[in-house]
Amino acid sequence: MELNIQNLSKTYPNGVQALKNVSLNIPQGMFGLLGPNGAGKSSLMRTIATLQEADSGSITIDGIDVLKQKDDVRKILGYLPQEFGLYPRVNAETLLTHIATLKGITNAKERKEIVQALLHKVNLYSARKKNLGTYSGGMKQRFGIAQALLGNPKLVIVDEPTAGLDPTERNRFHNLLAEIGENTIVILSTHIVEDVSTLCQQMAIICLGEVVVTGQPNEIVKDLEGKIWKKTIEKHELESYRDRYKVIATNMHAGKTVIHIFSEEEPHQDFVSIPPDLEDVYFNTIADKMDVVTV
Amino acid sequence: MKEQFLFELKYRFKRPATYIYFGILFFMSFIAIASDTVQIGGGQGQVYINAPIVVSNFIIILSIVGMAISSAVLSVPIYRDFEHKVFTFYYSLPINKGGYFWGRFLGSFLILLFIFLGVYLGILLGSLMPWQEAEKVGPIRFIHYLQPYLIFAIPNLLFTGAIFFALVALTRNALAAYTGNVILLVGYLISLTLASDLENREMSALFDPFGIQAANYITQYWTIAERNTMTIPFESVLLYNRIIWVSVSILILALSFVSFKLGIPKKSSKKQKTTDKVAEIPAISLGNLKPTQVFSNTTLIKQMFSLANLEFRNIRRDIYFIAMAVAGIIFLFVDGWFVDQLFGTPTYPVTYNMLSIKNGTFGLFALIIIVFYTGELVKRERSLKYANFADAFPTPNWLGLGSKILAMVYVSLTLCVLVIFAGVLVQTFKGYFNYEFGVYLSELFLITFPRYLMLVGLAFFIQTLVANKYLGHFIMVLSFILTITLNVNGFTHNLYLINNIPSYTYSDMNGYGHFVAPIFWFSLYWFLFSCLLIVLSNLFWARGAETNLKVRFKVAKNRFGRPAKLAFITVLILWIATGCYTFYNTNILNTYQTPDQGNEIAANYEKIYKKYEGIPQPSITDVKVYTDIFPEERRVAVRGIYTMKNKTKTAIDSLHLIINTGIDIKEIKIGDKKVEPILADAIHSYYIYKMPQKLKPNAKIDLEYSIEFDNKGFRNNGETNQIAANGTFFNNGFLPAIGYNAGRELASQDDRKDFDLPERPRMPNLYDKEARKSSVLGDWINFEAIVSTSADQIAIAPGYLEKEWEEKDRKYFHYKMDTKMLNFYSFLSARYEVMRDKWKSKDGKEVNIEIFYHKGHEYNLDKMISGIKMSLDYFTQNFSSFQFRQMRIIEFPRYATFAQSFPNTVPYSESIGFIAKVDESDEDDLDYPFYVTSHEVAHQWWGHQLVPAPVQGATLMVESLAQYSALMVMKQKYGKDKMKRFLRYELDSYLRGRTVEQIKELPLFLVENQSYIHYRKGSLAMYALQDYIGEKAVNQALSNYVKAVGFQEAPYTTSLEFLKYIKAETPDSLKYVVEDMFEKIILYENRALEASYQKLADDKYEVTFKFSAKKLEADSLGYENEIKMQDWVDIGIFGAKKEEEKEQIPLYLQKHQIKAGENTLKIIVREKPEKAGIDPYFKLVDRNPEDNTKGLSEIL
Repeated sequence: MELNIQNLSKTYPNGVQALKNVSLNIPQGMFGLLGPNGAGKSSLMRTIATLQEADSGSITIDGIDVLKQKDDVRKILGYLPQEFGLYPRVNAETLLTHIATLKGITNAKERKEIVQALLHKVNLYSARKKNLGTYSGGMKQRFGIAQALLGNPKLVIVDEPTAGLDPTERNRFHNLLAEIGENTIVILSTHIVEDVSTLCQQMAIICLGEVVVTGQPNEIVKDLEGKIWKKTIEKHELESYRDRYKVIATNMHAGKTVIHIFSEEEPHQDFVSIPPDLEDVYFNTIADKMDVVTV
Repeated sequence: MKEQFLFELKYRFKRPATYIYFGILFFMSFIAIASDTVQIGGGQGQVYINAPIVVSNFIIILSIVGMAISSAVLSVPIYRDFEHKVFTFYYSLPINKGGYFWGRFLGSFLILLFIFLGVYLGILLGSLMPWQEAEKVGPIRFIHYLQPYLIFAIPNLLFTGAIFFALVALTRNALAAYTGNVILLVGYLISLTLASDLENREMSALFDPFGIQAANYITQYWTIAERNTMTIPFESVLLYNRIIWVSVSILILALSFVSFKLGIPKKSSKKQKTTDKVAEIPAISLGNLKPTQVFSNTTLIKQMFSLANLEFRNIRRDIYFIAMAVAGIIFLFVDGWFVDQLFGTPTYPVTYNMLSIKNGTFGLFALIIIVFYTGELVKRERSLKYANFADAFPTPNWLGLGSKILAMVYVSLTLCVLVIFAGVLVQTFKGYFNYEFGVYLSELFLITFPRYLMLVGLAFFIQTLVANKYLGHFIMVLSFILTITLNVNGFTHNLYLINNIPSYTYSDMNGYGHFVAPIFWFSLYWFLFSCLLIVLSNLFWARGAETNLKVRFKVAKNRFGRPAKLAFITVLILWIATGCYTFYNTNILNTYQTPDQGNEIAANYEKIYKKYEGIPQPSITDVKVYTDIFPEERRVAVRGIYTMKNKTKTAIDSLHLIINTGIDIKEIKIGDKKVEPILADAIHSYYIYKMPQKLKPNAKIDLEYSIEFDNKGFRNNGETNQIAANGTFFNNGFLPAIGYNAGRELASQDDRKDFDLPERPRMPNLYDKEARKSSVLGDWINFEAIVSTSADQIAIAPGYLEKEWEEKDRKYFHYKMDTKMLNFYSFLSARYEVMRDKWKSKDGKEVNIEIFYHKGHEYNLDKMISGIKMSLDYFTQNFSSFQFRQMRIIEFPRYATFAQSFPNTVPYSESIGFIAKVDESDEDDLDYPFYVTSHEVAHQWWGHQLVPAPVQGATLMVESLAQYSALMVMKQKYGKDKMKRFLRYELDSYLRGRTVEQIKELPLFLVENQSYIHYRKGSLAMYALQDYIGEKAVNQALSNYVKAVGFQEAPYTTSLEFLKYIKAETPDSLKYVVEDMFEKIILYENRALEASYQKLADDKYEVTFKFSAKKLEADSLGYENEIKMQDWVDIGIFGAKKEEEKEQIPLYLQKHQIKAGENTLKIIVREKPEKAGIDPYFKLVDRNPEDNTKGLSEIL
């Protein structure tokens, strides 16, 4: 099973071009979609999740035309948007059971089993009788994850799922994704590079509506070997370095500013060559597209 | 504080909401002034559209209705800091509580005051619109606007503003303000209803927080001139009222300031967050759980129902829904309790009256609930952002849509059930157990419920299309306004007036009768239309993130697959077919006429045929009619023979007939010869026939006609209710009439202007000799009728029953009048029960009394019989003998609400006495079945013996004398004390009537068919007259008069002659009373000032009574001038009412000659006095009769 996106474009009525000729092949397993805010990740995910129309292009999965046969896609879909709300005056178990019904799980016994299991998995079991209005942000997010995983989805789309989760919860969620990712297409969008490097077999970086890089994370990193250099400088020097080099990242370290630059060869002897990681790839690619200021 | 205040002002002046609220108020008052579509408290008749009283009314009413704006504006300033969580740092800033609290309040309050200036802008612009008639717009004066703003707008807004501001400041929750808003409004409206009784007016004027009762109390009897020039004086009850409520407002603010704390709110226990516990996760692998997923249609439908239950449960538990439903029930109950009262006397709570309450305030609540919750349901997932993922669930659109519609169906059903619940409850509490569940169910579930559904469909469709819920509500309101606007502007077809169905009346006698077909077809038409909207809603159902209309159209096109097409086309065809069938009925089988078209026909009738007015035409001397009524088919066939005599001095060569449009003329014969019209104008109902030979003066000839009136199909409105399956009642207005009839001309001056017709007097001048050639009811005739009807009905016409037989399964009745009667007769037919009795006069003449009534309406038959008997006694003893041998009352359906006297025959509507519930032990109840009966019997004298000419003052001798006669009979039965209550109603009706006069008020002897004068003032004047000159003298005058002019031929009598007879019996010293009462418009302002008593040695009491008196004469527009007073006025002293007394007998009651100004009298009475009064029985016209009496204090 494979999700195939061909030449997908979308322009919003206000003139913003959210997607420019996007083509992607997404195989089974975890697929990471990396990009800065406003890159078009959510637009792409909403389009795959049947909730937004495209101006042109196509999306197919298993022979299903996603843009036309929406009902068929929805039957195999699990979707967690970046932002969502819940009925405040209903408890988690009731709402999840209700959603299970909508997802076609009509057998009461099976429905109860899967709902209980999911509540355990997302650690909401003890709070299952509490109204959703009383939930914290993290708990709501976990409820969102549970509903996305209901009903054996073949295609799971999760948009910034770990936002608002504490490290333990995030870890637990990663495990959960890894577990289902074995025989499912899971598309995970994030702006946290680490999530992708730890979880995904395949990835793409998307910026200003365009796919800039796609492939396996470690292969992509390989391309930059020997081209990333580091130097510790004073803060006021930053501007002059920017003028002279392609600065892809700046970090603070013990009160000093550390810059990473991209260069095919050694720029200056004061620079130290470092092994690239995914973060460098990410910043290098988007630095081509837009002005990155990281501190 | 200044900083806070300025911040609030600046912030608010930048918010669009400020201008939107301003715009709403502007729009409302503008529309109300600029068109007749919306009525707020505008001027009627001769009152300027921008008169000062209109300005006051607008600002008061809108400050109440605009309570929602006040709550929206004043709930925000503090809540804003909580809503946006600004308080978390803001309260740590170095601000002080006083500055914060008062600064924010004053800033917002000033904004509120600014917003309400929108009302004034609307009035100003509205009255300056070019289409306003110049004489309807008064001068614009600054004080007319300033004064009501100061005494009404500011205190009212301060009151509501203080409440809402305090609620939010203390609870920090905007919901508190909204809930408070609903409770305050509902509570206020309920208290208004409860306080609406005549006796409570002064109390409620004092305690009404908005001052509208006080304003109404002060201005209730204001004349047109006063309304046009005066602002409401800021004194007495209004002053106290304002002092009370401004103090209350300040107190509320002060208390809330004291309790307000600048601090971080404690979390309430209820809102406690659920703690997040980390638990061990059991080792469950999701991979092992593979539940089966089923997506069959049956499961989808099951899901739809369970979803609908969920949605409905959400609504049911919603605080607003509960609040509105409870308020709705309270209104149902209150309206139901007081429904259908006449003279403060209740009727039996019959089911149709219980059902009428659903259209009262409850109707408004139902409308709001439906529109509001449809919006909520359509938008809920979206506004909660639950749709962000739920839209991707594998459910078809129709599932979500269907469940929501179903939930609204449940809501609509709930509303219907509430009406039944309240109705049955009221009936039970009133001890009435004849619950007609059939009527309840058919009215609510077959008529009301489909209309609720249509509303749901429309709101649903609009909410689906627009992204913003409030915009959706706004469009709904616009659609209502549009419908009303179209309707009042003459576009009256229910096929395009959204959700309109023809008006209908349920009657106990005839059920829904002939209204069933139009109700059914129009309801079906609108129901199908709403189905169509729902199918369209399904296509446009918002799913996913797209809000762009273009894209949504594309999506809709994609969704328009085979099933959608099939559904759409099926419903569309059904809808169009229903529309066509309805149109065929309303416009092809029947004529559809807009009011304008009707006016145009009337105008053209006058323009074309006025030239024939007064040309020599023969008069009818004998009428013989064969009337066949087919009630079930609603068809009537009449063959009639009029014997006509040329009473003019010239020979007549042509006959002009008026035959109503829609009547099928089968044949016309003049003197046995069939004739064809030389002019036949069916549209203007005008026909001219050539006489076979000239009709010479004093010669006679027969006109024989054969006509048929049939009701085919149904109409858009205005069904011919006169012919009904059970309860036919029509008069000779249906039959051909001779000669041009000025009564058919366009009457309204405004309408006449539109069609370039000259001004026309409302009635011919009193001194017009030409007009005296005929009477108000035509000529004297001999009458005979044979009426047939269905076998189970009884048919009635004036005259004595000669013969009754059955033929071909139909019943025939032959009636013949053996004396002359006026050319005014009616035909009735229904399934009647009959009650019979006899009355014998002193000289042994017998009169048969019959009441034909609907089975089940036996309640007041005895009162009616006794009314007839006592009336016949009184009238024959005091006026003249009774000309007939029978007197009949015949009930007819409540399509009309009057009783009308035909010769010995009184058709009497089922709604004005048959179901009255008069409790004789209740002091407040008036026996109006008795009174109405007596009034109608009196018309056998005043109208059927004595007939005036149709000139000014005519109705004085018809209606005022009938009122007087009935009053005297009532006085005999119930005593003087009870009269006081009745006269109080008459006084009130008269004073109110003159405030809405359309042209001009006239003295009684010139009355131009103005009911507030000839009934109301007539009662007062005649009652006072008999009090001054004695009942005997009045009766003597009337007796002389009727004996002199009764049964006379032309020229007919006028009010001048009447006054001559009255004056003949009046002593010279009291002639002024007759002149004041009948020839002038006189008002008094009498007032008790101080009253005290002192016990004398011989167990007597000396009362000292100080009072003031004033006499005014008004001109036709109500401009009043004080005139000299030297009048005889009642002075009365009253003690405690004794148990054994049926009515209170005053300790002292004498007329004293009173001069204007302050007077003091000393009177000695034998018993302990309690009250003293000047004119305590309201015999004189006095605008403040309450202050005529005063309690006594004892001087030791």
